[in-house]
Amino acid sequence: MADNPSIHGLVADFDSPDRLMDAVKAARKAGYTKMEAYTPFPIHGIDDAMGAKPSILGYLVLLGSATGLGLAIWLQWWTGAVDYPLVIAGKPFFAFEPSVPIMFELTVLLSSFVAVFGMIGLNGLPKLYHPIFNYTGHKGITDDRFVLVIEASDREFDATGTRDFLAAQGAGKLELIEA
Amino acid sequence: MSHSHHHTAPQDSYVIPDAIWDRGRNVLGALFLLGWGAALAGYASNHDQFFQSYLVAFFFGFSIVVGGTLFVMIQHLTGSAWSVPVRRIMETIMMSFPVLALLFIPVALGVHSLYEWSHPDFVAKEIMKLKVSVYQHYLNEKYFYIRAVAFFAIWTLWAWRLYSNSKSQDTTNALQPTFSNEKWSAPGMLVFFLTASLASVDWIMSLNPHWYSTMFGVYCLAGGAWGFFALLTFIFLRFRANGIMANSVTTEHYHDLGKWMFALTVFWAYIAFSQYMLIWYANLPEETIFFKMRRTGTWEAVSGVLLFGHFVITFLVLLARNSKRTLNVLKFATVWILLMHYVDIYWMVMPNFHKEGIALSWVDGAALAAVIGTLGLAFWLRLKNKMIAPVGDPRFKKGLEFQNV
Repeated sequence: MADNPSIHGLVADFDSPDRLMDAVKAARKAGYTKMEAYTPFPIHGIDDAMGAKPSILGYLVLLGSATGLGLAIWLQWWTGAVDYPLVIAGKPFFAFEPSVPIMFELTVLLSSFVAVFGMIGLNGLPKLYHPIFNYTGHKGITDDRFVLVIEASDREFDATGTRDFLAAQGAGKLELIEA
Repeated sequence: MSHSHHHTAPQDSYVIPDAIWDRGRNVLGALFLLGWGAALAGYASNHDQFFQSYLVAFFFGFSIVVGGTLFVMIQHLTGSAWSVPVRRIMETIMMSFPVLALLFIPVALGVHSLYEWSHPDFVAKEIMKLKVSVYQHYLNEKYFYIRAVAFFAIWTLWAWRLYSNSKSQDTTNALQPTFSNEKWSAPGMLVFFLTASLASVDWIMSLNPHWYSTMFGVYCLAGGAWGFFALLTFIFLRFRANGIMANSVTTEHYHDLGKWMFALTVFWAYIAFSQYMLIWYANLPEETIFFKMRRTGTWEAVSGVLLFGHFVITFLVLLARNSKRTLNVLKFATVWILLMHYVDIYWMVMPNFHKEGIALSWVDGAALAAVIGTLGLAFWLRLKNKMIAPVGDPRFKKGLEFQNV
């Protein structure tokens, strides 16, 4: 049944974070893997409950910081000691002491660039359309509703079976939404 | 939470069981007695060496206590919930000030062994040569003692207010002490930064009366706060090994303690490097003498130990999220940090007396044991049959349930 491309998934609407959390845990136990939760505020522990993998962003940031550090050393050494050596106040052409602030700044700068733009990229932003907007109650998600969507691409997805399963978890409202 | 099976309340008693308390008292009491016995033997064998070793040990203890007090006040000012379960132990460390005042007595008695500015012939020569009046109006024995008494009086007052306010909530659950502690903490931050900086100048920087650095105070405080978080984490890991508060202080709390150790590793390095770079760049003889002394003979190796051990290794060990959540890594980090903090203070003090290179002495260990034994025993006596967590704090429950995102 997971083949209808016009269906994004089944929305289940809960009235408290605890109910949502229980439903997420039950859904994982039942073998569902492709699901997403939509809530008005962050809920501690829901990432783990959904089985979301830790982001790779940290490693990308490490790469960015190493690039910034290397760039800063190379820039100061090459301009100061190789390309255009000048004696200033009797200081060495290149020394680590005065270079560290630039090394620090460029490390931080490139790390923050990778952190911010990497985060945006990994989140798939900017995104002008999302199927959740087809859910008739989607305004409640920014107010007081806690929503779980089991996506149609999930191997376990079955329009009637999944509906029965989510109803058993205490969902207030159930709705199939278009992709 | 309305239905609470996600968050089962921790089953902890918050009082140290008698058998464990007795064992701790025996260990710390033995350290106290052996430490002082050995320290007195050290005094008998070599007065100067004793006072030098003792100053290092005293300042090691002092810097950690003052760093801890700053962080108790920061918790009140920010209204932190995560730190509430560990805050009573922070406060108990903070309450060491009266004991530190007693431990200061040997430093006061050793002024002539430690500080050149206490010798009348040195001062007479200085006044002739430099026409300076700092020795008449600030850096002399009388004012040194007056300042020390004033510092300890102020610190004890603040520590006592913050501690007794928090303590009173154990039985009353009242809100008012929380507000009172917030009120004491705001001016307290200013008062402690100022007085502790001046104390660092008096006790350590004035070992070389010609040298000055406006960053010296914050350098000492950064190291002290760093050592403090290592000590706090170490205490809770020992508690955990003995089943004390093992359900209340979770990986989430250790993660935050690890973040503080990591942050202060970087902060210390930032301050240490800023001090070094400004002096390197200005290249004035009366300033560079500090680093020249610490690049003479084997002191250069100790400087390298600080650069790599105090900063680089600790930075790499604590960088990853996982290492801050792995208790064995933290266990290593706490011991390592406390060791490096001691090396840092040794490096500040000893080159003034052993100019040609590092000269370790058994009296160093004896003085350290005496100071740690005294502070540790006083800390432990204060915990007997008392709440070891501020169970009446309005944020206590929130602090237990806290999770990192």
